[in-house]
Amino acid sequence: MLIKNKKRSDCSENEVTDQSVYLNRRQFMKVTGGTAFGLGFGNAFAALQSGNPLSPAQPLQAAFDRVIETPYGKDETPAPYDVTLSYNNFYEFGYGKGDPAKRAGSLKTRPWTITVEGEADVTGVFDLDDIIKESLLEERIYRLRCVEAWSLVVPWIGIPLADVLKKFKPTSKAKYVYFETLYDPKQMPEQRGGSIDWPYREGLRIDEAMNPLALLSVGMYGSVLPNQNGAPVRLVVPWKYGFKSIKSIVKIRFVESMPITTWSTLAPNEYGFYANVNPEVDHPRWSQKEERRLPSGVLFPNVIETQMFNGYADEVASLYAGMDLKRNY
Amino acid sequence: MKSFWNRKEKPYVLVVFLLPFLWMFCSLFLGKYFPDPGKLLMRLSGIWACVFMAGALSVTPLMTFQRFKILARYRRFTGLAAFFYSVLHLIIYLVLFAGLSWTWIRSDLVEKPYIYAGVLALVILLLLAVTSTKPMMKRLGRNWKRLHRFIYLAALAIIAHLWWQVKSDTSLAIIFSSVLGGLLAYRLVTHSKRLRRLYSS
Ligand code: HEM
Repeated sequence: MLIKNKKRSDCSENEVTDQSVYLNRRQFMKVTGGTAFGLGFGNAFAALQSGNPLSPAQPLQAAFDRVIETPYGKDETPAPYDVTLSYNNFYEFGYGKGDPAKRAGSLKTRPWTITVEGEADVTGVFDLDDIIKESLLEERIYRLRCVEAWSLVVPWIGIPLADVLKKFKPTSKAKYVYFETLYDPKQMPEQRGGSIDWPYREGLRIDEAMNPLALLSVGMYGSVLPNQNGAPVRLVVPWKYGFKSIKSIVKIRFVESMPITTWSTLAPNEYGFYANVNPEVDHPRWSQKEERRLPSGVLFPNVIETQMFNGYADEVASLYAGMDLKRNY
Repeated sequence: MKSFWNRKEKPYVLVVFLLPFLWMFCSLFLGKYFPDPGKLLMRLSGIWACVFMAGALSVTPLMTFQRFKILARYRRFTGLAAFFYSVLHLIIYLVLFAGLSWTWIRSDLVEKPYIYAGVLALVILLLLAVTSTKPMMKRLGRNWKRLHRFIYLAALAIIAHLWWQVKSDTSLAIIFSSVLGGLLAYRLVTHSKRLRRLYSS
């Protein structure tokens, strides 16, 4: 499913509306026809939108016009755009699932730079738009499994992380990659207080970061990322719990030893550095054997079994050969 | 004023107590909790259970003020409302949160002690609800009062339940620990005063 993003000049306002009404209806029929009463009922009341109405800034239009379709997730049904847009964990904008959608408007996503530091030959401050312009964007439909036991399917647009990282020529000392979210309490109101030591920090082992599945995402559903989904640039590591996929990245640092990450500092016995999706290893306080695949219906959620590495074992299991995943959770 | 507090108002009080439930019910069917009603309603139903719990525990202290004496009539009613919203919370957990999946429920309830505190509170509330009728009061005599002191244990269990849930937002746990904890402390103080008076006389 590649949702082509039309140039603004391609169609008039009217046609845009017609198309979204059509998409709504088609989505509605697909859902009511195929699934349980509860699910259809729920979607009937929420006006579902499947396309992303945002448009990329003019200089990026060309890059978004030639997004490459990939086989990833071809057999999956992406969550309607409205679902992915309205149900977020992005604590910089509040703890409620609906808070980011309400409050992320204060985030200024352009111009946006990423500082690259550490064990690499090419370091410095890079403009995100330049990185996008010189890359080939791909669409990849991935499952996203939150550590809180819900999940959804998202058609991301991005650049394979390895392609980006290789440009900076990491040295042999670069054993890990560390990422950091923007820290600016003016734009991110929740950073003014709370129990988290901002900015949000994440990290990957270098071979994890270089795995072809890892994506540096700059868009979803055919266009740019909405603010609440981690605009303008975020990580997507689909075989790990969602909190590893750090949002609104401003810093990438190549380091020799395992970096400190936000959740493993907050609750080290509950969240490890690896955080691979694993139905065999429960969260100390709740089960990870199953998940609610969103959207849930009004009367019944869509509970499915959680798969090892979120179903990406073929691609990533070899990264952890010989490791005790119960200890390295 | 007097006529307003006549028993005739009881149906209205019932409606007021049911308002949060009706609100949640309608919002659910209007798709307001879309796309994950289970998650959002766990919190909402739990909050209302706590609110009525705090309400029930406030009645006795408020009765020391003449003008609030009238509330005594609604102590049992408020307690039953706390029970009602706790049962709702449990139903939402079973149906909307865990999708009636036995794997999910079993591993949460049996393997994860973190829900025990909530279950304990609910079991106590169930016992108190069952014994809240007039005939039961008569039958249990003096034991009724002893049994119903377990409401304080239920309150403690709820506080534990809230702290056990915390992921990083502690606001709810802080609010209800101070409210419920404050009410518990108040009872402890008045109770020990009464005991001291008993001994000294
Ligand atoms: C059988 C009994 C109970 C079970 C199985 C249960 C289960 C749960 C679960 C699983 C959650 C977490 C939901 C999530 O992860 O989002 C939760 C949250 C909550 N529960 Fe319970 N619970 C029970 C009894 C109670 C009682 C009796 C009360 C209060 C009177 C209560 C108040 C709450 C509140 C306020 C929350 C929200 C906490 C927060 O979001 O910070 N629960 N409960």
